[in-house]
Amino acid sequence: MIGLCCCFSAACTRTDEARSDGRPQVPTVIRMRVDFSGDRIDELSYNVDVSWPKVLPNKWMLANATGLAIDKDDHVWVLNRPRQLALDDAGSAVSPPQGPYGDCCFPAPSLVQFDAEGNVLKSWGGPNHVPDWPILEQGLFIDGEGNFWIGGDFHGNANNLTAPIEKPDEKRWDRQVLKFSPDGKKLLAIGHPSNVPANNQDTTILGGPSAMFVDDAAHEVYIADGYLNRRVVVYDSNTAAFKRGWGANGVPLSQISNGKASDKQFRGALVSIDISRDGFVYVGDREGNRVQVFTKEGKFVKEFLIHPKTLGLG
Amino acid sequence: MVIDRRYSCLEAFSMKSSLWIVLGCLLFSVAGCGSTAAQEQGFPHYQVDPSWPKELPNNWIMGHATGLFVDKQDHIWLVHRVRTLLPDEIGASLDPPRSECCVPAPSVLEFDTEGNLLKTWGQQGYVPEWPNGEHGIYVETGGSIWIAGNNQPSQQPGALLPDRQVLKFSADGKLLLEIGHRTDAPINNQDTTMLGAASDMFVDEAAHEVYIADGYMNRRIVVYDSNTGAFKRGWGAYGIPLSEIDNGPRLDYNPAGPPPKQFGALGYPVRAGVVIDVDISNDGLVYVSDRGGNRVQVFTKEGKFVKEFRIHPKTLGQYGSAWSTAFCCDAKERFLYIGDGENSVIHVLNRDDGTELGEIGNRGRQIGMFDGLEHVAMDSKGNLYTGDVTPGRRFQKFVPVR
Repeated sequence: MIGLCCCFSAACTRTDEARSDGRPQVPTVIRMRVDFSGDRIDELSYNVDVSWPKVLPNKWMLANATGLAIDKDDHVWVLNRPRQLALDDAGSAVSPPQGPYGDCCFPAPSLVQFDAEGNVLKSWGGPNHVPDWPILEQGLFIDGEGNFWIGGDFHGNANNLTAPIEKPDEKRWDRQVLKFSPDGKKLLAIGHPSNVPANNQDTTILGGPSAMFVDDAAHEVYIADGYLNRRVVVYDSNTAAFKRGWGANGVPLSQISNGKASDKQFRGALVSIDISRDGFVYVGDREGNRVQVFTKEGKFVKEFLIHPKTLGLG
Repeated sequence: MVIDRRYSCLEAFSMKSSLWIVLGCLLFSVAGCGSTAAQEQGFPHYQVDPSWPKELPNNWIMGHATGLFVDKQDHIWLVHRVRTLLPDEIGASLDPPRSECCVPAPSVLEFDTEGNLLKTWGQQGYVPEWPNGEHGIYVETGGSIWIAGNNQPSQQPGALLPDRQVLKFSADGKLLLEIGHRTDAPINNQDTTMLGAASDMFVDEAAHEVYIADGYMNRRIVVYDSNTGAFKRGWGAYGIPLSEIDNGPRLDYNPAGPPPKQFGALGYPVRAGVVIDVDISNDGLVYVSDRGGNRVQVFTKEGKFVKEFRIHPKTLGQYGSAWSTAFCCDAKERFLYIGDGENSVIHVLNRDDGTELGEIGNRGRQIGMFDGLEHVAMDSKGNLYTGDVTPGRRFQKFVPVR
């Protein structure tokens, strides 16, 4: 996920000064050094707020955090993968005779909404919410109408699905993005679960889509696609009709290799996509250690290499 | 952070470093939140101190928290199991470096109560018999340091030898004594020349005796001369002599049945029934945590069985409910704290009769919560320290709020 920061005004106050509400200072300060257009500010810092979020209700535990979105009310939505919760974290959900393990805990729903104080406001979603609910939830976007967009990246290894939830069909890979109404009703599916091989030319199916961004004015959804594919694809956000797509450096879909990775292609996983206010599309190419920037039409603008010596997951 | 009824008061307390919330909840508790309000019972509420410990130098990171001890100077000693660190956590130490973060910390770290790192030492290979899986630490008044190890037998090709030894070092890190030795010999509760993946020690300094919780493979307490390493005595559950301890397969824990006759009943799936902790109270009683057996057994120093407290005996799972003990909060040590990594709370018992008075904390990944809680320890000011093995893998400090 790419965060487009920051404030450029007096609102950008230092956060390490004493708080006025009488709450004790948390000395855990994360310093941030930034250079805003030559006007050097190197004192900006963040304090961790240890009271956020509060203890979850219903003995819930969150698993891998794979999506994070702020809605128009500044409420925070967290997407997580209940199926990857460790067995001991979900011990209360283990069936007899092996369980329940003890007094703790149950998988939380896939989506949990928090307010700024860390209270849980709403929650929904999970393995049985709709038949094509992703096995491994990945990526969350809330559009201007409050609709939810959710991707997924399961591609065949059920061994790391440790939670006491019925094991899925290993052939049911996540090749779809789902759109839900604000009250959780399914509105649209782009792609569908399948284990056919990666195909960057086929726009009826995705490849482990991991991030979405909706251009509300244009009614278009941009999808970072993804764990199996190496492309950005754009669909009509109301009808799911395919609009356009491209690969690294803006190459057309027809020129994207479905075989071995190379520097001329996205290395993947493509795990983030964001559009700035001035209309540029920022794509995070994780193992490529880079962010590439495009116009909305897919014309390559520039790339930023991010600590390019990084190996591992990028 | 605390207590009474887990989902009433506690919900508001639990992560709460902010004083106003704690005060608010104290008022709430007086107003009738739970019938056994912590303060009426005389044990404190706690709030997490997120500034402890301070950020480690040298790009260091710690793995499973497997040992925690507060010495007489209120220095906090931590041991972590270095080999549990994952490649993406120690990327900077790989060849070629995978990332800018991080490097394994030395095995032993000493902090003050403010979270300043005072000293570190020890690592894999520090001495030839350095444990493959560091587990448990005790520091004597004179500064001698005891370390155990719990690496267990494995059928994997190239597996490391099981740790069947406890090591004693001088304050400056020189090896003074080894009890047992590394070997893949079969489990033998009658053989006192080697241990069975021991997990914790307690030294009776006046008597020059070290008590060893033994362990992950064996099912016994063994006592040695802490200066010479000579064997003194040993016993099993209910104080049975070593000769009566079964070396055969362990039995599954049955929540509907009577308590197991031996230590180390197995949980589900097959794993980790362990004699995991030993502590001695000011009045000279030996407290032994039998994790898979969901109980603490109490003995005299001679090994005579005194009583047992069953801790949430319905608990199943891979581990069990009784992981570690600490005494609180006065010279009489009225309260017995029991770290419970399966239910992810600290149980507060009346030390005399075992009545459960309350619980501290709950499971979660945020600061101030527990996730794989293994260790509890107190300093002289009543601060509470905890260690999470896995998946939490961290140490935390909680300060009393009166």
